[in-house]
Formats: sequence, C-alpha cells, structure tokens
Amino acid sequence: MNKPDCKTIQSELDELMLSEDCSASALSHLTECYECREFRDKQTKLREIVGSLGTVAAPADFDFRLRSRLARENSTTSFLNRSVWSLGQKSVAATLALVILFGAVMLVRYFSNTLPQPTPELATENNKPSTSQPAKETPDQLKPKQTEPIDTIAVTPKTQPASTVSPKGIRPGSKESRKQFATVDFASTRAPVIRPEEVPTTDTVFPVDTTQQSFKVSLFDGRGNPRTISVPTVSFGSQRVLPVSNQVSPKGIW
Amino acid sequence: MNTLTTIDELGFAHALEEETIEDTTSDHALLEATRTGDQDAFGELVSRYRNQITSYIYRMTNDYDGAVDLAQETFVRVYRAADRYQRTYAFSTYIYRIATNLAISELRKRKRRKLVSLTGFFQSTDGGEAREFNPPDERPLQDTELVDTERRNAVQRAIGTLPEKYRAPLILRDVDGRSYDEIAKILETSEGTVKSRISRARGFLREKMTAYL
Repeated sequence: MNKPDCKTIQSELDELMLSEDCSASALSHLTECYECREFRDKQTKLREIVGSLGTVAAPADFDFRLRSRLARENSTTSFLNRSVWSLGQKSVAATLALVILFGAVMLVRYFSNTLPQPTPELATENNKPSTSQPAKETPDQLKPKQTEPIDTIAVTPKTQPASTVSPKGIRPGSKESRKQFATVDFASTRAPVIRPEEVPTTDTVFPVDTTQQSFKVSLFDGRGNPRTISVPTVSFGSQRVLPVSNQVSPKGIW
Repeated sequence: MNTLTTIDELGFAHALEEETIEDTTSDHALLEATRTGDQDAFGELVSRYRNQITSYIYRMTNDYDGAVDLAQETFVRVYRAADRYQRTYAFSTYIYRIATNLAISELRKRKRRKLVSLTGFFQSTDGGEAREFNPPDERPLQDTELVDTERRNAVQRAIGTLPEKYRAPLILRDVDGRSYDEIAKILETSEGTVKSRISRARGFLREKMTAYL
C-alpha cells in the first residue's frame, strides 16, 4: 500500500468521532491494509477507554463553599472600594485646598504689592543720627525733610526701606525689602525734642486726632460683635500735645 | 417569529442550531442576571457547570482536591468578571478557557516545585527521555469491572504524564466530546493545531497503554 494513502487514511480516522463512519475510500483501503486496520482498532479502543473516564462529580458542599468564598470576597472588596474612594476623596480635597490656598496667597501678594502702602521715612545708611548735640534740635530740624527722613515721623506715602527684620534672602535696603515691608523700627531714631518755647506745628508731630481724649478703635470679633478699644494718646516722656481751642499747645513736660 | 416559520423549510439542522442558540442565550441570560445581583442566577450557572469543570480540571491535574479548589476559583473569576463579559463566545467556551488557564498554571507551579516523580527512577541508560514505569501485570484476569477500573486508572495516569499542551485538547475531545472548533476557541489556537496535538497525544497514549490495547 502506498504510505501516503495510509497516512491520509489514518489522519481521517483520527479526526472522526467514534460514532462517525469513515468515507468509502477509507473503508475500501481498510479492507486491504492490515496496518491501517490495526491502527483503527487500537485507536478506537484507546478512545473508548479515554471516553469511559466520564465526568467526576464536584463534592456536595461545592456550592456552599463557593458562596462562602464569594461572600468573603465581597466584604473584602467593598471595604477596599470604600477605603479607596475615601482616599481618593481625601486626596482630591487636599489638592483643591492646596490650590485655593496657593491662589489666596498669590492674590494677597498681588494686592499688597499694588496697593500704596504708607511707610515712614527711615534711617538709612546715609542718614546717621547726630551724636554731638543730641538734645538741641531746632524746629527747622524737626520739619520733615526730603533728604533727612530720620528726624521726622510724619507718615509719608513713600516706599522706603523699612524694617530691619527681613526674611531670608532679602537684604534690608534692597528693592525687594522696600516692596515687602511696611513696618518701621525707630530704635535707632532719635526722638524730636520739643522745647516749651518752641511751638510745635501740627506737621512736626505725629498727626494724631486729638479731638478726643483717647484714640478709639472699633473692631469686630469673630462673632460679629463690635469691640471698641480705647487707645490713649501716647507720650514718650516728653509731653503730651493736645489741642486747646484750635491751638496746639504743650500741656506740660511729663 | 419568522425564524420558526422557516424551520420546517430549512430542516433539522436549523432546529439544532436554534436549540444551541437557546442554550447559549440562557447561559448568557443567567450571567446578565448575575451582573444585576441575582445570586440565584449565578447558582444556576454553577450547578450547570460545576461537575464538568471539576472533572475537566481533575483530568488535567490528576488531583481531586486541587481540582475542586481550582473549579471554585474558576467560578469566582466568572463572578468577578461578570461586568466585563461579552457575548463574543459561548459561555461554555469562556468558562472552559478560564479553567484551562488555571489548570495549566497549576501544572507549571508543580514543575517549578520539582515534585519527585517515580518516573525519574526509571530513566533509560541510553540517556533517553524518562518513561513511566509500568510493571507488567501478571495477575490472572479478575472481574471485568475491576479490569475496567484498573484500565481507567491506568489511562488517567497516562494522561497525567502527557505534556500540558497535549493534555487539554485530548481531554476536551475524547473525554468531553467537544468539536475541533470549540476546542480551538477554548485554547485560542487554530483547528489544525488542535488536530495535530490530539493526534500526537493519542500516539503517546498508545505507546503507554500498549498492555491494555
């Protein structure tokens, strides 16, 4: 017999289901070829044995065990989903809060830079206090001078270098510090001395509204209730200047 | 329905197709119901396939307790993936595919653990491949039932020695009676490959089962 025919026939026999019949040509070949007949017989027996293995049944508690396992998985999954969702919510909330905070900071900085801020003229490196005659100062010296801001404490809308306190990286006297600060340190500034014979003008002293005995400030507390703070007129050991019949006259040396 | 009126004209083949479609649809319908939280629908699916899947995995792994665990894992995965299931294939194809992958993973794990096998003690001296030790049974033939039982045990052991890529198609074809097309879809390969592997698997079994054939 031709080997290719045997191969083809055996392949055909291999592919057929047990219950199926082979083709007429295969049948005719089988009647003549012992090898193919033997192959068919062994193949059929083997497939019958394998087919007799049948189905192995699952145990009786299969469903119960499966449901228990699914219930455990569901409880674990729902916990994880809740945790994940709350984590997600928290992270979103935190991100939003950071963005809002950043925006607020930027707005505050923007407005603080653009709005005019009254800063007093201060002692600078060029304006050193006089050490020779500390007590004798003429009214002229007390007048505000453009070049000597050290002797006046009149508030002028100038942006001058102000505080000695500076954040890191910003040097006092630098442009950045001029923009940053509005506080004033008068520690090294000599106070003007007003003698009794000298008639101080309103522009030589701190322009305090002296129509009232004390300076009152009304503020609202956190609950919307107004709180009035009475700030007495400050005197630094020289004299208190109060208006008397529209005149500014010294009350007396303290 | 128009389809029903044409069954008589088209013949019995179409009636079979109709029935197959109906079975498939009912499995799909049960899975759809499972998606919406219907536990009873899922229970029905489990009762339909638990024996088949357990048996299939047992034939693959030759370990009953392990097969039960893997069968449960199969159903758990079906349940978990119920939302993502698409009707591209029949449900039986889908669940058998999961079971096959789990069984093959288990077989590979065993290989990695290097379980000691008795076949290793009987390596041929010429350095050839290790063969299973099959001592000739010299006992006289006894009850036919016992013989049949012994034969089945022997073929089960023989299937257990097959390479995993030959085991699955052989079991699906000769034990479960599935078509080449179904087997190709389950194993995600071509029909030609399936036929070739089945042929080789039978050749291996013929050599191992010579005494019983």
